[in-house]
Amino acid sequence: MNVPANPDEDRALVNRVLAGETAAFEGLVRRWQTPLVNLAWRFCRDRGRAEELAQEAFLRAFRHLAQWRGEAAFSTWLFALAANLCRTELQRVPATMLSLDEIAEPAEDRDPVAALDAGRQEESIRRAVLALPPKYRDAVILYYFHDQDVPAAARTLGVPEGTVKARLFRGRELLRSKFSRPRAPAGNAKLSAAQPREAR
Amino acid sequence: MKRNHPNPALTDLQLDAALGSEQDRILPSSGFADAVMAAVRQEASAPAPIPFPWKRALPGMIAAVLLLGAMLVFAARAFWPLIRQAAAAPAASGAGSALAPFLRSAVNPTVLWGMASVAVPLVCLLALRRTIFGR
Repeated sequence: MNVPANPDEDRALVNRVLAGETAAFEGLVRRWQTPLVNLAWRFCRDRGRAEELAQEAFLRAFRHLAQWRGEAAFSTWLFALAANLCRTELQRVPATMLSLDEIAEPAEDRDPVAALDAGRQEESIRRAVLALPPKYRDAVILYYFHDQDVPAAARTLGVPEGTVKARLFRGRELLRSKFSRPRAPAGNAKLSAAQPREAR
Repeated sequence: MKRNHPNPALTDLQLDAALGSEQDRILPSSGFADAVMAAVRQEASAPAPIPFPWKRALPGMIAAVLLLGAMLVFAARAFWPLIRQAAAAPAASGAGSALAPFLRSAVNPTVLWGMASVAVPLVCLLALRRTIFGR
């Protein structure tokens, strides 16, 4: 989720907000709203909830703006704050009740990848990510959110790059194992992951 | 990160395509930034929470603690002869006779003062705690 880097502009806006000019925060909101909503979207895959999470992340950023020391980019601080919020909120109310076992199984007796059209398969993979154990889920989500940039994902997660790589590897292994699993016997149809079940 | 996997069912390329897809991006709704700013303005205009008046409360709290300490010392000095007397009582005579000096001296004004000197600061401290923490 690339936004043209302009750290000086962010810093100037932050300084104005800290000086009491609340309206200057709008510059930060307009600049970072799309990445932040998308970050939340990847965690919950629900537009309404993603916007609520992004709004809460902006509010927290506003409350704790003085805590940004400027050592890291403003976006790094903001994404870390938002990712933490998403993780906490997902712990409280999970995005989906599907487990890895419940993610869409191939419906026909063919090669599972060939059996699904590309769009459906991609959606199934995205939903399967949400069913991963949280530490693998977070690494996978942030790696792809940051356009496959491991250092950026590590900074957002606040863990070493090696940890992100290991979690990413394990997360991908889990996804592969899921999508290469022999299909269930006919009549034992699983719930399609492409159709989110209402949270209990 | 990219590596060949023995399982041909789902390749890294397919994972990358699914998870890094441009299609997997959404745009915030048109009123999102305005809604955020409305919440931010509300947050900014809300009165700050009233901080606990430590400057005013601290001298009183320190005085209460000092008073409690002084009263404990006073009480210990008042009770000390009785404790020694109880300890010196023959063990064979049982708990009743060990408590006898305490019971006999219950009406002693010094002991009464000692007990009051402990009870009053304790009650004051409990009342102060209730006032501060609301429980």
